[in-house]
Amino acid sequence: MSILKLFYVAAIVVFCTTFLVLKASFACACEPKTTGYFLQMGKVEPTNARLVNRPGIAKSLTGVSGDITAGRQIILDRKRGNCLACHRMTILNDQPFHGDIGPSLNRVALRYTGPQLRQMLVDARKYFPKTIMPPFHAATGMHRVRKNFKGQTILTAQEIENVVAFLKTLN
Amino acid sequence: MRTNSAMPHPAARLMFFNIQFSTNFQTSPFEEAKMTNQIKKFSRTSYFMTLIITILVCAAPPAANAQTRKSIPPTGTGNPLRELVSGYYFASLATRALQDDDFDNPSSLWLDVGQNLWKKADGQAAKSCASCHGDAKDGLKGVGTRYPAYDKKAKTVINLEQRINLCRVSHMKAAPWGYESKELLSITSHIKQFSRGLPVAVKIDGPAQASFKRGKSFYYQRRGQLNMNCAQCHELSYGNRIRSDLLSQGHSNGFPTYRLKWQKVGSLHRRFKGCNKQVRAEPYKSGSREYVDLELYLAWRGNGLNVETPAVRR
Repeated sequence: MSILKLFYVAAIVVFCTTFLVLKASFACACEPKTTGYFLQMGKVEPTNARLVNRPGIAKSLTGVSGDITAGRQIILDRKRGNCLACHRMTILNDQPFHGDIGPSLNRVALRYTGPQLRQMLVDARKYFPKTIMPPFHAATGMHRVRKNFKGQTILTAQEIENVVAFLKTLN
Repeated sequence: MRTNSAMPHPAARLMFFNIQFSTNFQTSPFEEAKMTNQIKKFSRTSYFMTLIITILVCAAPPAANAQTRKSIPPTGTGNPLRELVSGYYFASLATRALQDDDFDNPSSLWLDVGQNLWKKADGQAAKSCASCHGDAKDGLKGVGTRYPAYDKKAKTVINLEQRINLCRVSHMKAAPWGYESKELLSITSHIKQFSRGLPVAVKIDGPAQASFKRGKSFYYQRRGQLNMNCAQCHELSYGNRIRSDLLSQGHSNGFPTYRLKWQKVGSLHRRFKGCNKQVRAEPYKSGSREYVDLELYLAWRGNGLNVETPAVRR
């Protein structure tokens, strides 16, 4: 029995040493990594192949930070955001009937940066010219807008910020 | 080792018992061979059964009846749709059943009104539709597949509703009916029902060409505050859901149609208005040139689909 125990201990030691050596060699090959780097390893940088290096709107439209709860309400409201008409998201599964015209918004904050999300809400045509997604905060360039909506945007600047705040939580 | 110990742990005893239990059912080598043979036999039978079923399924004659086919290839060239699917197949089974049964179909009330109006004399000429056309069943069969069409006298493309009103004004010397009036919807449905089952076949060449082109540009023009065009929903996203609604290809082969949302029969132009309002765009008037152009373009997109008037839609 004692020989078996010795063997286990030896195996663990060999395994740990190999791991440390390999890790060190990787660290040497690239730039030096801190402990924080290894803690962050599970997280992915927000990237989308089509939108890499596209800046978007970095500045908040109002200067006031968005309210997540209010953003959720706008997403559900059929007269305002009505995001569920086209997008499905698991976090709102308490609501029936999610549309499937647009892509799923699950983990959308991992695919796009905050500024990119803001740009797509304001006017998604900047990234995708043929998109069906309505420009939620663009008042010009529309054809035959109905009288009672003329000169207005679908969402106000603060409502856009609220929705951005909600979408940022989907990571 | 366990058998040597005087009193094993209760759990171990249970284990031991289980082992003993299972050993009771050990089969002899002879029986084992018999069982293997049985399994082999069974697998061989199931293999042959699968083979036979596959052959039967493959060799079965395909459903050749065009009526039961869900999608048909577009007739003519240049249609952006690869397949044509009637709005019927985007409706629920309950709605389809309503349309299929002539007595359950709520449009039958309008058809009755239409039948009476067909025979009723009206206007200064004191003529009815029947005075010239006889029975609509014989005289006007297939008319519903041709409209909108170019009219030489009007020198423009007109739809069936406008054709009826022109007839009333010029031949019956009667006042035209309102576009969304019960009379016009009823008589249009009455005429069009005799084209049911015939493929839509509007002409877009010759003098109708200009109207067709205008209709096409209307179709692809983004409009309203939501900035959408018809194609984004009905050409690129049909079959997808917009919230709980299933998007159709937006064909006009069922109009005038009984819409459950309206609780009555309505015209295609009324539907256009609804669509325009939904994208927050200023709608045009019913019977306007823009909508007739669009109606012609839309009918051409569905050329080959069977007329379904009086259809039932959600």
